[in-house]
Amino acid sequence: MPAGRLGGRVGHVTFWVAIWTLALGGLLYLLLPTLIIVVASFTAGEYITFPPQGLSLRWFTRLMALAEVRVSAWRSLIVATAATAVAVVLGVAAAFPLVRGRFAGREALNAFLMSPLILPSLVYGLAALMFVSAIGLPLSVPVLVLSHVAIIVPYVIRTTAASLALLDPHLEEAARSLGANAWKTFLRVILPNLLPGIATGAAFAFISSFDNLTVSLFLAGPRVETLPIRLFAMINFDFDPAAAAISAVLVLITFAVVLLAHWAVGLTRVIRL
Amino acid sequence: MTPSPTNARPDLRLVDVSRRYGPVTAVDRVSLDVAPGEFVTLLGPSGCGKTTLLKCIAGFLPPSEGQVVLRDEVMNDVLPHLRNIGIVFQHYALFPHMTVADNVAFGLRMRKRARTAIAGRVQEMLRLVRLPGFADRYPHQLSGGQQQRVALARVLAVEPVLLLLDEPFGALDKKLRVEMQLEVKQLVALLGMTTIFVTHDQEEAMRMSDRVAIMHAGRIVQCAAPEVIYDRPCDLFVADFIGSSNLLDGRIRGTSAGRLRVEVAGVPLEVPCHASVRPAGEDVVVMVRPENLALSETWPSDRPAWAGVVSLALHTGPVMEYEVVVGETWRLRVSRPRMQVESARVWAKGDRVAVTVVDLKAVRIFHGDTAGATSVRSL
Ligand SMILES: Nc1ncnc2c1ncn2[C@@H]1O[C@H](COP(=O)(O)OP(=O)(O)O)[C@@H](O)[C@H]1O
Ligand SMILES: [Mg+2]
Repeated sequence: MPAGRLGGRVGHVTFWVAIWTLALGGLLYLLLPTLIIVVASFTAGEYITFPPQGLSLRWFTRLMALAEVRVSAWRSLIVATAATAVAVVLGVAAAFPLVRGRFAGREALNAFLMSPLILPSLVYGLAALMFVSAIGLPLSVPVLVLSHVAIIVPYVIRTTAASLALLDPHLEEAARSLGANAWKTFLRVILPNLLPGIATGAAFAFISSFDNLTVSLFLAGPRVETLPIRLFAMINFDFDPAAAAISAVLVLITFAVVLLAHWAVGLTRVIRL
Repeated sequence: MTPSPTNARPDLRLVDVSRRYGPVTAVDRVSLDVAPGEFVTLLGPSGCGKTTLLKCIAGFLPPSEGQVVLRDEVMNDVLPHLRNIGIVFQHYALFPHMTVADNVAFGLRMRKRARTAIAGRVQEMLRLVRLPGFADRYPHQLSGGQQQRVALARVLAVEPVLLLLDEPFGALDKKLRVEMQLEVKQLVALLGMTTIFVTHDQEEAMRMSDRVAIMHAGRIVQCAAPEVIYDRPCDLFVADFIGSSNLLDGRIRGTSAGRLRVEVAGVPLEVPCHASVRPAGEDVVVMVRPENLALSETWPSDRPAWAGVVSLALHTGPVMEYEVVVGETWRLRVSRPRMQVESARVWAKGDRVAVTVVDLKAVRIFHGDTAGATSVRSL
């Protein structure tokens, strides 16, 4: 084999070894802490340890027995669901002019609407609290929902806008020329084709509401505790494996939502492609 | 521009329609009448404003100036879904989430037709475009040609007043494109559909149209039957754009009784001409189509000829194409049918030939030597 070709082959192999090492290393680094806490939650012992001392579901059973945990978990689900629903309506509506509109300052508006993704949510939480108390609203579940909407709506806008940008603008013109008014064009032609983007955005939105701590800390108040706040409190007071069990539940629900979104996207893909 | 040839009320009338994008004038004072059942093609290079004009007609873009009149009704302020104008795009724009049947039914559903009537009409349209049995497929399960036929069925199902086709065959390969040209031409003729067709492919335009409107920089420069466009281009742009032609600098030597004496490459031509007397010495451009030039070995006694050397001989199937060098700078393109070539002679590179004009009546003369000049001869 000529030297040049051998050298080329060595270069090729080292390239792929480097890529795979970095990729797997990165993945492990991402997942390992979460994996450890999930595994630790199944301990039979009294403390969070890794590896766990024996395996049992006793801490999950204990979670179920804790009324505050049940109530806060239920509340988190309700808040995340409601906030996601509102965010989807607002986000899908906003994506439309942001992609298709022709007006001065569209780019600036785009950047502004994306800003909560960049803005520290701690700052937003404080600002929202000041705003709410300034206008004299009592802290409540609806207030919490609306504050979550503000931080999760950019996810919906972003994924919907991406889908919309890929959608052939001629579809709308075809629908219009066939006699569909603006509403029918949107509902019958555009919306069905945006579902993958909307589902993806909704999943992101739901998850970031469901495990949000920073904004909730400011706006929850003592009466409307969410699951992440409960978890935070448990870690502060007694760091027992029940906290690990809550983490495991959060991870489980996150995965479930991601899979659900994936399934919904896949379903629409089957029809589209 | 020339009004439509028939006396009937035009289905579409454009009156000085202009459309600007900021400083760019994409459509510039276009006027055009399209008679019922007529097939008119907008032909022009990419970027000349064809799509913009279609969008103004369909209602997707308001014209900056002028009027769009559909069957005597000014459409400028009518929303696109109320115009009853059908449009088909290059990439079909079928609704990807709907079956073929639902795509075809879409316009009928928007018109709130009865369910059974819709089903019958969908079947009828699919038979018409030769796609029965494809009703339950999704667009992605069809070939490009089939998708284009579904797009046609979808738009024809609602019986539009006017059909707009924006480069509908641009995404198809050459053979399929020619098939679809014939099919669409027949379909549209069968239905008596008034059609505006957009293309940048001149062969396609010539083949399909009753009239061709040549667009250049937002304007319609000539609108006439295909053979008129080809035989009597109104200016150098059209002469150059349609078909291939020899555009040769010449000089007027005199006028006499309906004839113009023009000197081209040292040879005087007597071109029949109805135009007014031109001053001798005026510079002109002379257009001679390649098929209007003939080659011979012997010097013709009855007509003027150029002496030249064949510099290029190309087989293109039905015709032979030659390039003949005359003198220092002149290059003449000549094309002769192969059949004739076989019965006479196939020329090769390096052959010395005499080049003559077959029919002097088909020679056109234009002012000056730049694009945009107008014909000396009246149309
Ligand atoms: N949305 C737009 N904004 C600005 N200029 C445009 C826009 N659409 C088209 N143009 C310009 O208008 C001219 C005509 O475009 P178009 O009608 O698409 O031409 P064609 O269909 O003949 O290729 C071109 O110079 C193009 O760059
Ligand atoms: Mg175009």
